[in-house]
Amino acid sequence: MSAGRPRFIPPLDLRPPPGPGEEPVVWFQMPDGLEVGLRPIHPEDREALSEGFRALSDDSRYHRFLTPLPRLTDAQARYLTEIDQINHFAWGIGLRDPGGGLRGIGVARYVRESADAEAAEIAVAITDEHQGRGLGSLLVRALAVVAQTHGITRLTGVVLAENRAMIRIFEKLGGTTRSSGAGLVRADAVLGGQGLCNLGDAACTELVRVADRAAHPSNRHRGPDGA
Amino acid sequence: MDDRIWHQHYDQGVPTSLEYPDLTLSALLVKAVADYPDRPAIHFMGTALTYRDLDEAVGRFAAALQGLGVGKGDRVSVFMANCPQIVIAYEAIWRIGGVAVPSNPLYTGAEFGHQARDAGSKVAVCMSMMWDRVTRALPDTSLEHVVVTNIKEYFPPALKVLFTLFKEKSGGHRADLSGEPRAVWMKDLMAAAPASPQPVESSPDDLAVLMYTGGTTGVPKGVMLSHRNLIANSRQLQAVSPGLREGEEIMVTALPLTHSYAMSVCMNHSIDRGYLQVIVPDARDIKGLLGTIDKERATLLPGVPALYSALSAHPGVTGGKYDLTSVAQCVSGAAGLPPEVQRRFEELTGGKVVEGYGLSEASPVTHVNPLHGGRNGTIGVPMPDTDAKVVDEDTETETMPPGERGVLCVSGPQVMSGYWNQPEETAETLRVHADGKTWLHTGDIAVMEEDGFFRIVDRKKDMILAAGGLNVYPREVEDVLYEHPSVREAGVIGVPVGGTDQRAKAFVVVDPDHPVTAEELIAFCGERLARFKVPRMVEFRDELPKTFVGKILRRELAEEERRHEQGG
Repeated sequence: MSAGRPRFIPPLDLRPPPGPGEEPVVWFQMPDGLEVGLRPIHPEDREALSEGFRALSDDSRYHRFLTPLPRLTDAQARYLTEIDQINHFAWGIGLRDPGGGLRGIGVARYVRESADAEAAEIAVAITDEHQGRGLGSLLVRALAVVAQTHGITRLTGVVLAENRAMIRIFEKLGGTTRSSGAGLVRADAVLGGQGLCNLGDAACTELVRVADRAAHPSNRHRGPDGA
Repeated sequence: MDDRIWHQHYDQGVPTSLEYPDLTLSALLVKAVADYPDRPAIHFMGTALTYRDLDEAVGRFAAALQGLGVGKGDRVSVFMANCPQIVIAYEAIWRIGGVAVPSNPLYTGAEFGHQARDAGSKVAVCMSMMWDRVTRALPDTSLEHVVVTNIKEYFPPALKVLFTLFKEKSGGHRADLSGEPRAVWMKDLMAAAPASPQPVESSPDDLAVLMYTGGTTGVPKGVMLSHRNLIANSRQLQAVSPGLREGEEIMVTALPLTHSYAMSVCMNHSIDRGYLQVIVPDARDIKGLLGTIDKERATLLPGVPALYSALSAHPGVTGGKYDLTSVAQCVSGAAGLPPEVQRRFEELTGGKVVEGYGLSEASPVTHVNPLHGGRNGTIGVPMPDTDAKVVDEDTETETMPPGERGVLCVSGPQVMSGYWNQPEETAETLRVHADGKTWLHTGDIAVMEEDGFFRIVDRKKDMILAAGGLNVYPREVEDVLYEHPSVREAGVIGVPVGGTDQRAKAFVVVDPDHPVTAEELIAFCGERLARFKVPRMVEFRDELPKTFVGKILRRELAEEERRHEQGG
């Protein structure tokens, strides 16, 4: 894999199964050396998501909701975490926490559009200090992999024209962006192009496996009670 | 400049390219004083200042500012309505190499404070009627001194007495500075200051002004304008107004001098050419303005469509009480000039009203209609040395053919060097194209007609066009609404309030456990926002229209509002 792309860190063979309360995480090393882990978002993340949102800069919150929302309402926080993992799926991204698990630094999600079952709108939020390191791009590629397994062939976005980072992500996916007035851009990317697969087969397989586990709770390790 | 298709429309004698002096704005005043020492520079409420008087006041105030520690490159906030002191402040700041940071006189303390803080202003010059607002903002700024002046300082003696007796207190012009060691009266400071400042080495490329603008989403950004930018714009304006007589014209300065338009078109242009500026403190006083135009035999009246419309419709005009025939040239900016407004005002004055276009990032004027052969519904053609083109809306890289819409880009000596401390925003707005030139991406959607006239067809930016050419960004209003403990979600749009003017309307979702009334929310906004930004209406909703991932869609709200209006 060439330099400049995230490198998948394969799980060790013969690794022990995740312990109680532990989540399967897919690890990548970014071109600048940063190691990040991805795992699906689930309802237990509600509080962490709200806290993370409050810690974003004004501009980052504005880019995400197109209004300077200072904090998520309960309804919003539930909507963003109580998800079915198929029509609405979200990756959380985090750094290795010395105490075990992940320290969250971002989220990316897709939600299937009601009018077009093959299209899904995406949204990305990365904490300010980690913006500009390619994490959004990695997350969207990881989303695309999962989306495709659920019959989604197009990713769309309603993006602020000044949000160049998000527009570049769509451009890198081979997508198009079209001004829709009032400072907004409508972005659209058809999946299945070669551009998406640069995470590598091993990484894609692992991402699909972990997402699938989240979509089928019976397979999901929920600690002693849910085991 | 190379040939451009629009050059064919230039009035006779208007060159396509100009020579610009290698000077600072201060040098323009020095030259005017040398050429016309005894000609009036300013008329204000019956007081007259000659160019020599103006120069003396500027010298003394410049020395006073130096005494407060203002050095080359230091920022000085200017928070004032139109009066002689604001001209003195600008010129004094420039004489000692400082950078003026004008703030709209309608701003609240918080809005003023934000700009002063962002600019890192060391000193502010304000009027006594702003003192309360400045006091509230002081703790959040780096201001070391605040110089306060009362509007009456330059009233003639009799009016000053009447004002002190009857108007000063009720109008909020009385200020008590005793509790604030950082505050000082401008007149005391000037009385104690040397007649002129220590000379300061300045270059035309030094920063002259940080002009705050909302940018694309309403987060204020300081537009960095150099002496060279502003002198270029003054000379370009002169070039497209052939026939104006140096040292003779009488300019009405009615639009706020804290805005780039009046600063350039009224003040800098007048001083550059030795004109008399008649300073009008409040353009909303239509009767007073009419009396001023009549009495002063004013020849130049830069304005906005709503102003010409209000002047034309005044009973004193329709009744023939005021003689406006002295008015020769008016450049109208800020919004499209309705043909009827133009025709009516030209009829009344016998002069010309032409529509122009600009933005603070370009000092501000880039386009203007020729005096002869102008085209209604267009912003005219680019001024001398100003290049313009329309690029595709998606990538903003491909030049669109004539007749097709896209983002208007301009290039020229009046274009800013960037936004203060905002390298990313600067890189987005100023881009070097394949032709090697730096282009300002205006964010306005325009069409160039086959023969080179430009029309604005839409705005890429999301903003509300308030009366008087003032822009309101939904984001800044929503920001304030979210400060209210009851507000969960907010979406703000512009709704028409007669003619082309809009006012903000807010749609809010409130916490059912903490109810609030529309009046309370409007009052809450009124304490935190300049009046023209405060929503006129509040509508409560259970939820706001959103995209699938939860992004709030103001456009949907605007659509619903429009359908509702049409449905009656």
